[in-house]
Amino acid sequence: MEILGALTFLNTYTLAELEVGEHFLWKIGNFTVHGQVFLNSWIVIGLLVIASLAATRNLQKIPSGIQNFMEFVLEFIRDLVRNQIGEKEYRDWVPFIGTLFLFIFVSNWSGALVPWKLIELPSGELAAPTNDINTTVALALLTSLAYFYAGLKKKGLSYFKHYIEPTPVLLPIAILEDFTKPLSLSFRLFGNILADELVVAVLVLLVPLFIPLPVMALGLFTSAIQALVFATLAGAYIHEALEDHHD
Amino acid sequence: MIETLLFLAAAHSEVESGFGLNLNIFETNLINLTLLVGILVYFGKPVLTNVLSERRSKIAEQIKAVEQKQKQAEVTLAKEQKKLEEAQAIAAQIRSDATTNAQKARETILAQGEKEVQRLKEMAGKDLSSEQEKAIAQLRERVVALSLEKASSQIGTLLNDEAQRKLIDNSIAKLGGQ
Repeated sequence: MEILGALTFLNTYTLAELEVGEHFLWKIGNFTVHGQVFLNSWIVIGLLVIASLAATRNLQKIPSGIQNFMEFVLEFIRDLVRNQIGEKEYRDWVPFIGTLFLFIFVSNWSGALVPWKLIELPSGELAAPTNDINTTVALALLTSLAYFYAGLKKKGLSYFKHYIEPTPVLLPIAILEDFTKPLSLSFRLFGNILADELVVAVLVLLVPLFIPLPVMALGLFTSAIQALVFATLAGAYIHEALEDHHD
Repeated sequence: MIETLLFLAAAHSEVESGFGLNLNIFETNLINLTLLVGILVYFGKPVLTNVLSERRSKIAEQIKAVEQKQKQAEVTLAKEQKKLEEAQAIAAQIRSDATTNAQKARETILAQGEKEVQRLKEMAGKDLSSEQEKAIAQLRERVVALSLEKASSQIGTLLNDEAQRKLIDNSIAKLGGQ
């Protein structure tokens, strides 16, 4: 949680602290970071970059192989974003929401499918980057920034009018929403992924063979759903910020 | 639950003390993960390949259809262009015909006009000369009449017996008196 603390009050005051398990700590300047999360994020990012490059390196008119697959993925993401934001403005937000979705999805599945425990770290263990709350909070705060940016860019300062619409009585709730949105986003993702991995770990500890398999399969399903939920909610928040309250 | 977590954490921190490979098959959950990946590939791959090949064939079909449409459009374009050319040729033909016709008509009209002018001029000249002759004849007649009148009137005053005799004498002298 050091990063979150630093983000809020320049490390002078820690807003919250939350630690689960052991971590492979790195010191970068004043920050202490969770190295295993970084390593895995880099692996996930590398995977995505390599897939994107491989898909776009030799573009064909009739797509085949990885180009076809990545186009399929892109179409899926585009439909998702269009369903949330609407035909008129969805185009600008496909990259952002698509990146969120792909990163979370590949992170989750890498945590659920790759035997990371083969690699030993000095402390802690490699797992999905999204099972660390710092990652999910970062993603959720990016989403907050994104929807504020969307609203401000479209409506200017009159974006803030929506806090007192339809009635100023709701002002506290409207302000509270800006805090609960990233909070719920980050905790939902973090909690689901961590819980899944913990359940699997505990089951493996108790019954090493076969019994954990259904739970692992369920974990795969949950992971995919969580990525979808995160992307969908990000789209919904952005849509809410873009929406006109006057009509 | 928390005790389990602590236990797990403790177990890990005991075991691990640097980078390396953990080849304990049970601890790394290798069998289950392999099985899971296997199941995923076994069940997921046909679905995915199916979806992808469908997508591919659909795209190929669409491209084909569009290309066919393009070809058709090109054929139609060529046809229409040919028609256009023909029409343009016909238009040019009509235009040149019209100009030649107009030229011809102009020439004939001009020639006719000239002829007419000639004829009119001739007629006018004829009229003029006959008129002149008539006028001259009239004048002559009139002069004759006038002179006759004058002469007859003068004859009345001038020709008395004396003068007549003198005249006759003169004439006789001219005839035989030399």
